[in-house]
Parts: sequence; C-alpha cells; structure tokens
Amino acid sequence: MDMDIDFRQDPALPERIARFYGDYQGTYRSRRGQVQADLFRAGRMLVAYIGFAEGLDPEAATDTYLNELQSIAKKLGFENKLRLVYA
Amino acid sequence: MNVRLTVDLPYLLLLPDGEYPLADGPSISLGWTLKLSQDLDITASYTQATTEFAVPDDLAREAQQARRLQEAKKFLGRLNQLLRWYRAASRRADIVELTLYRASPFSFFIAGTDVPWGEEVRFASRPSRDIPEGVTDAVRRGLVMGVEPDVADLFLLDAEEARHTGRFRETVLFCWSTIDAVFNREYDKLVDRALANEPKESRKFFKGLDFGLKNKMSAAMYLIAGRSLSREPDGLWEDLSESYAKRNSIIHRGDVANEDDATRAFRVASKVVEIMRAIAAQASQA
Repeated sequence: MDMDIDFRQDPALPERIARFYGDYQGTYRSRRGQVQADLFRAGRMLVAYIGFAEGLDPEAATDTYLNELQSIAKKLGFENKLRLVYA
Repeated sequence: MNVRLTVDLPYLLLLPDGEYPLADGPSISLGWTLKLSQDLDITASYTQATTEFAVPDDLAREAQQARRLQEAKKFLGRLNQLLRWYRAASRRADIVELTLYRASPFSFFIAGTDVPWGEEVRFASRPSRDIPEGVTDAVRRGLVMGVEPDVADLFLLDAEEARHTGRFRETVLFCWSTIDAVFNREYDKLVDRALANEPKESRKFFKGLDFGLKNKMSAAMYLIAGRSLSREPDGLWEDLSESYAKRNSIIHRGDVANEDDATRAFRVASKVVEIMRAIAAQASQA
C-alpha cells in the first residue's frame, strides 16, 4: 500500500461486526482523521462504510478520501468495483 | 451544467406524472416506473422522483462528492414534504417519510442525458461499528419467552425515528408517552413499597392524577426514593419543565414543534428512563 495512505487492519473492530458485513479487508483513515472507512469484500464488490469525525458534516469534510479509496480498491483487485456507503 | 438527481421510491404514488413545484427550492418531478425481467414480466412498479440542480463545470472530485451528499439530503427533505402531503391527502397511513437509508441509492446524471455524474450515493442504516452487543441473545430470549420488548425502548425508538425524519411534534409526543409510561410504572411501585404500611387511601393520593406529575417527580420522589428529578444535574428539571409545557401546548392547543423541542424531549425522556431504571434496579436489590 502507498506509504501516504493509512489503511490497515483495525484490532478495535469487533469480529462480530466484521462477520455481518462480509470479509473485512481493513480500515482507511484520511490524513487528518476526518474520514474513516471500514472496507469489506461482499461478493464481487468492495464496500466501504464511510464515517466522518464526530460533529463533522460529511459535506464539510476537507480531507480527500475518494482517490485514496479507489487506490486501495485497485490494489486489492477491485478496480471499478468499489461501493461507497455513508453512515 | 445541470445535474439530474433521481430516487426510486419504495411506493407507487397514485399521482399523475409531472412536475410538483415547491414554495422553496426546485420542483420535484414524479414518474411511474416499471422494472421488467428479461422475459418482460413486471418485477416492480414504483414512483421515481427526480429533481435538478446546477453545478459549476470545473468542480473538483471531492467537492462533487460533497455536493452529491448535500443535494441528496436536501432532496430527501423536499421528498418527505411531498410524502407528508400525499399521506394526508390520500389518507394512506402506510406511506411514511423516508430516511436516507430507505431512499438510497441517490443517482446523479448530467441533465438531459443518461451519463452518470459520479457514483450513486448510498447511506447506511447506521454506522458500521454501531451494532450493540448481545442482540442475537436478546432476540432469541425474547422470542422463546413469548414476551414483548419494553414499551420504553419501543417508544424511544419511535421518537428517534420521528426526529430523524423531521416529524418533531410526534417526537415530543412519543417522548412524553415514554416518560408517562416509565415514570408512572416505576413511581407507583416505589409508592407501594415505601408506603406499604400506610393506609390505602394515602397511597392512592400519592399515585393519583390530582397530585400532579411534577409533584410526583420532585418532592414525592425525594420522599420515597431519596432522588428528586428536580435536583438532577445538567439542567434536567429546566429541560423537563420546558418540554412538558411544549407537550401540553401540542396536545391542548395544536402547537407545532421544532427540532430543538424534539431534541430536548428526547434528551429528557432518555434521562428519565435511565434514572427510573437505576432506581428500580436499586430497589429490587434492597
């Protein structure tokens, strides 16, 4: 993974949650922590469940995250198969 | 450039296709839509709602996504206004307002074409990490025992849903239904326990309607449980009093409520439930 993309397994994610959403691939965090996404493989798609820092309106986030998520999807073999789901 | 935003409603509204202008913001366009299988069998029949908005041609990618999220929420607010009117005018109680999750996906196209303007926007029913523990056990236990969930939990969930969908007056009433049900149930038990050796008429007086809810919550609670809601921190009593006045104005004068009223009522109801459950747990251990 690119050095400047924070994407790794999050030990804090309970296993019971990983089981609900598919095969847990890892968690992405944006540069200043405004955006966090848990990524799961579900069938042929990679689904990113995106959350924003508490109190931050999604529309107001200034951290970039779309290119980074696309890049992660590509490296995991899901090019053009990324689905974004906002919490 | 103009962008077309479409949502497939989970309903078939019996309204003619066409434009439905609003006092504020762009109009909503409704159209009857069929989904066909490969054999041309009808698999779904529903109403598709559409609107348009203008965006600068040179909007950066992240800004486009932020705009999609923003427009999806704005459009849902207008759609829900339309659904409220349709529900009232058609007397269709089963037509309820939509959450972002139920309205998903929100699809965006360059106006006048079928060319997507970025990806669909989907919303989750709740944050992916926000799954309480013990759900499976609770569901299995409840079903096997043949009991219903606590009315307080159900009312509070109704209130939360109403608040999220902008039905603020209902939120206040759901919250006060919760407070009435939970407080009175536990209060009556506390009175019966604390005043068990007193005459029945005395207990009846303390539990009766004439004694007044706020007297019960304050002085009487202090006497029988050592905990008056009027002495709770963080301004609970002020919030409770204000919310109670709002509840009465809705019931007796048909007053409206805003989001602050709904949020305050929800905060008060959640706190009252928490306090009464704590007192009940203590009392049952004593």
